[in-house]
Amino acid sequence: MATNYALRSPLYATANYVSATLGQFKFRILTGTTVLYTIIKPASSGVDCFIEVAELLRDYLNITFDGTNYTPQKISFEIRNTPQTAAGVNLNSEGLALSGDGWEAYGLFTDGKNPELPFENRQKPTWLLPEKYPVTGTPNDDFFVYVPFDVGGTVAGISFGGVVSFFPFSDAATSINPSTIGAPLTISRIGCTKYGTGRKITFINKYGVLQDLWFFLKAVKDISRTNESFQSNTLTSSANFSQTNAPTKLFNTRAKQKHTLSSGYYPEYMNASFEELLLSEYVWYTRAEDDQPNSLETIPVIVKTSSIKYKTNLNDSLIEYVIEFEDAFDYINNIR
Amino acid sequence: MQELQLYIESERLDLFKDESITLTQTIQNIKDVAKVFTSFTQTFNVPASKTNNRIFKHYYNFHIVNNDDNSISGFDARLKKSGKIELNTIPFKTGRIKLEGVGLKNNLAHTYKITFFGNTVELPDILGDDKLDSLLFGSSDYDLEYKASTIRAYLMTSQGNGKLIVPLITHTQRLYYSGTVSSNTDNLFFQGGTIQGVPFSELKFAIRLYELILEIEDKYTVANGYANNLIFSRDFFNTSNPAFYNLYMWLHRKSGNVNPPQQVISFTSPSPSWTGTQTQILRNGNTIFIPSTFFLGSNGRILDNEIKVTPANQSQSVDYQIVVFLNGAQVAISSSGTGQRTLTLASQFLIPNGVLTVSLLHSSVMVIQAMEWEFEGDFTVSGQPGRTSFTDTFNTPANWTAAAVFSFDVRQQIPDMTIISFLTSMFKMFNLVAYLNDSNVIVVRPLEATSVSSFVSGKNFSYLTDDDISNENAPVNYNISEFVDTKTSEVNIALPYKEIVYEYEGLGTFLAKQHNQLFGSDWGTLGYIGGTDPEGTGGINFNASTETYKVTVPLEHMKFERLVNAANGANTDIQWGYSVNENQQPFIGKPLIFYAILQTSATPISFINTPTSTQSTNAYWTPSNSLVLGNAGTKQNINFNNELNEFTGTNTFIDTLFNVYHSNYIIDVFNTSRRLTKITSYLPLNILFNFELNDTFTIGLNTYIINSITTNLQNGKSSMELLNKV
Repeated sequence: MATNYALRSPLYATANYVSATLGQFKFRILTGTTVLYTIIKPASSGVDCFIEVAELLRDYLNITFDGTNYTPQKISFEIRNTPQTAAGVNLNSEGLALSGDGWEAYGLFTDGKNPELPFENRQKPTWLLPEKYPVTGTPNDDFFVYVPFDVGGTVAGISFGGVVSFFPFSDAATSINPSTIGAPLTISRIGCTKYGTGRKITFINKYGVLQDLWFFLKAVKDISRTNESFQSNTLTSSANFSQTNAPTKLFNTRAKQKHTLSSGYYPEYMNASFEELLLSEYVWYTRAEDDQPNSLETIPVIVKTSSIKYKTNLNDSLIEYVIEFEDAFDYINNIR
Repeated sequence: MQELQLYIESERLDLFKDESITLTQTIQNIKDVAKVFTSFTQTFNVPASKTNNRIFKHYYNFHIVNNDDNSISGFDARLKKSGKIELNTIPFKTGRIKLEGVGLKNNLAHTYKITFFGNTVELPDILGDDKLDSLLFGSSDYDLEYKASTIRAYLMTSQGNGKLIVPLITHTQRLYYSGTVSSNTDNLFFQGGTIQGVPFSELKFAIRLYELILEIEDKYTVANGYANNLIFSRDFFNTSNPAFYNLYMWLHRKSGNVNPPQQVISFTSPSPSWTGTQTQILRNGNTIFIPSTFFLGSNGRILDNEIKVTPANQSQSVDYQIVVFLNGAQVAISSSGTGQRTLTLASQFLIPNGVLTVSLLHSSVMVIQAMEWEFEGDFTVSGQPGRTSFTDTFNTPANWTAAAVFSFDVRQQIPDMTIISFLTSMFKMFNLVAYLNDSNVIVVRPLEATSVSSFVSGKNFSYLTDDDISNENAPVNYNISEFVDTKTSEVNIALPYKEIVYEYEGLGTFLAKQHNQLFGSDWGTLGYIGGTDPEGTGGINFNASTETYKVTVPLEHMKFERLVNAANGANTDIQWGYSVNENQQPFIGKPLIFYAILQTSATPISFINTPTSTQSTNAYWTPSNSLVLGNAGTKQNINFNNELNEFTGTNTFIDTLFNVYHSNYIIDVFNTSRRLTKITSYLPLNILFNFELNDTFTIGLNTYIINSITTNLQNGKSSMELLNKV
């Protein structure tokens, strides 16, 4: 049963050995049989010797999304340690300091050291989503997703044994309750509005898995460009000039599109999902293609909105967020 | 729009944003041989992305070690890594990347700071402070005996195509000629049975400058561990170009005799050529060479070395010593003794790019049965753990003879001058420019010489007017009118100096000093103040600028003397050089170069073989500042000013260095119509990648030559300094 660690937060591996000749520990970080890094750190007999490995492992955790491939993306690792003298002579055979699966997930300060999925106050099995009423009433039985009518989806959950899986639901489903999760997921359907069926944002959430979040209301698309210019000399050798040859020449034109999406009205507990969207480093926007509106395409975007106010029913009555996204690429292709 | 791609050891680095590259090319740079290889360095800040973290192995974490060799860091920043820069996937520069450091934010890597060094390092970085005595001179042609018969042969004839000669220049003796017998031994007049004339010990060898160019090319090669092969084009350094090919350097390193008097006669015999397999240490002729790549690239160590000399049976009783020279300077000598002897060279003399030779110092002739130099050490191989051992053993041929004669070792007798200084002096004298062509050949051409210097099909391969000897790089005119930004520009005065002085640094020999005292001007020196005469005369003191620019050639410029027959006042054919100071004491001075002219039916002179015998010769190498001696033929000479020719006594030798190689360009600089125009343009790639500094640009109705261009290769924006054609 693998332990699932959040690699966006520090992850410490510790070793301890009692020997008067102990001088250092040799740590080897492996995925499978491949050694990623070797670390040698001075050590003292009977004193914990630790290394922080989250960023090292994260180098080898590749996050991808093409619009359809909802799969767990993790790195399985082992951190092995060997006590050595200061001259590098082994004092004992290699032991295991830490092992598990690493995820593009993060724990909060309040989650403490080496946070494990699904973090504090959550018990496995569960959905890897915000819970409607965490630690109140009957825990782990009140999960919702909000999707348009006639649209299917995929949601991640973690089993009692710590196995993360994605569970699809059909375009007509109103709830699912897989046996490995043991908790129902209610699929709440949102009716069409004058703004269409909504726009889907997919992002890596706090648990390091892909999560869809629908924006149902107004969508605004902007484009902005930059360029440079110079004043050209168009005088010809016969002391004449062309009236159609522009003296002001443009070059180095670049453009970016910006998308401003309104979420529509969500319940207050969904604040957590918008928070996770804001803190995510991997976000994709699935939209209708410009020239083929019936076809969808998925593009990488950056959340430009840098702060949101947590809205409450008491203060704000209706809870709606307007989030600004920007293409994570230049509109005029310049990939070289 | 140009995008930049940066690779380190075939892995592409992530970049923060569009990185830009700026290149500056100036006509001044190509006139400075030191800048022929324009070094390219660019500093980049790259993000601590997953890709970059994997490459740099989280360098900030000094506990991370190499997976294979735990004794070194995960990323060994002590060594530069190979890298390359591409622009729009087109290769732009290859070179090496140095990791400077890591910037952290919140205890996490944020930025890696790296510097890219182009493979082409500047010439001074390759040559360093290497002197002419560090050249290999591995050919047996340089195994010279310093004795009367040899000196006489090299004085009278062209031995080995004239690679080395003996010119009629004395280091101490004041020669004169009187057609009557006298008791004065300085008299060159030959009279059988009378001991007078020039003794062989007053003369020294001289080497053709072209041979020095060949030796430079021979030593500075990639195979010898240098960053680049130094190969010069033959646009100027050409055997058919007499203005250069006939120039020699006098092998005069110390004042006075080659061999100073000794209490006990001993002879120095250099080893013959080495043989043996070269793995880490290289050999060339009778030199041993330790390439810098052995130390720097392979982290090599020489742990032991030993020279072992075994005399043949018949020479077992001869006293001798083993002497080791590093770059021509003695650095080790064994104690004197007989039989088999050994010497270990101390490690401080086993330096990168060190040229080592071994000689034996012996009291009489001896036969050497075997001579061996063994090196032991180890080095690292990239990607392999641990160190690899090696043993390189070099041997001389069996049973070679160390003769009982004085040897003349070119390395020990060549003037104390750096190679870069030697090349610079050629560039200053002949106003040469240099640049690398596509074949990595250093093309060396005059900037804009007059036609008298033409030597192949009426061409002298001037940079501003001709194509080169490979029929490439001819000047091209581009009309860039439409690419010029007319928003702002500047037109400035182009005359930065009031006077340009062309001079030799070394004017300390007796006759040159005397010239200064008699005529009030330095021998061969020209102060140009803007005249339109190609000889550099005329002009007025333009006072807009107060600066004087000096073109100082770091060479000795000797005034020679044609001897007159004291008996009847008639001119002889004898022109000679007198290498003493104004007190007529032996003089070192700067390295002396001159034209050597072999006269074969000249006034006979007396050559002293031994204290008791003389010989007459009417053939001898005559030193000269002009390419020919008489009034017929070329008037080219190596004075900047038109001086009275030493041989003819006339001022008809008008083709001075200034006239032939400098006047075309410099006279225009002082022209009243000359302006320096500064503009900004946005050149298209077809011009940006193709233009050369000898091309011209047309803007509107005007044509300009290029003074300098600074180009941003990302957007083509170029800041130009242009000179209008006058």
